[in-house]
Amino acid sequence: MQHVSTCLLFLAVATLVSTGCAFANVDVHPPEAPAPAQLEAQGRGGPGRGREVIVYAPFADARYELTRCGMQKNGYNMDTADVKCTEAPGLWVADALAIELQRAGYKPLRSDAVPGPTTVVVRGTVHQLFLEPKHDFFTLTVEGDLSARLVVSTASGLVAERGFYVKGTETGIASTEAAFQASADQATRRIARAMVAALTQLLDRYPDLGTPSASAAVAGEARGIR
Amino acid sequence: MRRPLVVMSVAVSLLVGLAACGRHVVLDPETVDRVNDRAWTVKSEPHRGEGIATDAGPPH
Repeated sequence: MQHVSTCLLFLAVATLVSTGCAFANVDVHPPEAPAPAQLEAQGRGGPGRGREVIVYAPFADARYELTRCGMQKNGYNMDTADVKCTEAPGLWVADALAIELQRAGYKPLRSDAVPGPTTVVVRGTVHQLFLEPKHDFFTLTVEGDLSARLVVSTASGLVAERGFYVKGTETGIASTEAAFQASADQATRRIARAMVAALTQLLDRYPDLGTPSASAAVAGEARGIR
Repeated sequence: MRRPLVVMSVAVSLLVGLAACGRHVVLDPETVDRVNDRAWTVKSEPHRGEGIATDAGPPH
């Protein structure tokens, strides 16, 4: 009888320890930016065709939870710790967009650039950047939801809006910091690519827009759009 | 021998109950697909002569 009780106690403790150990906060950061020369090489011949785009950074932050970028959970699906962004989400997404624009052959300009009549101006609002583990039977998946809305305008009168919502997923056996980071990286890349593809689709309807006319410097630095 | 069974039953009930009380913030993939905009909402077109829409597509 005592042997059974000992076994039960051991099982209970093992269960608690294995499923309830997610009490430490986790940090996530934006994806590493490639070298400027590498971006320039990738952008040659890209769909951007050197069109100038001013990306106003940071984007506005309209997230439901402003104090954190996600939550850590234990095996009982309880919220046990926070996921913190090392960079403000508004800057995070604006930088990711500028980098992806360069990769596609656009010429992103700093926020202080003076727009010409056909310079494309992009403003944005981040509505969601939230990472959270979802427990399956044997594994768990860290899901990252990223949502933002872009407003594209020109002095010549174009005003267009579009919302973007993407999900990053990383499956493993534990919700480690690496799993959160991989999920965040995937979601960031997806939303930046979706934004640039959509922007190209919009601007291709108006061939004159984005032709070099702004007076300020080009965002030559990999993260230099501020 | 009945006591461990009772303890096990209570423990399992507790686990199931706790598992159900967590909250989700992230959306399921179907909802993400639904809330994603499929196209731009063009509120105003550029003035004529400065990037007016064309059916010819981008210049090559």
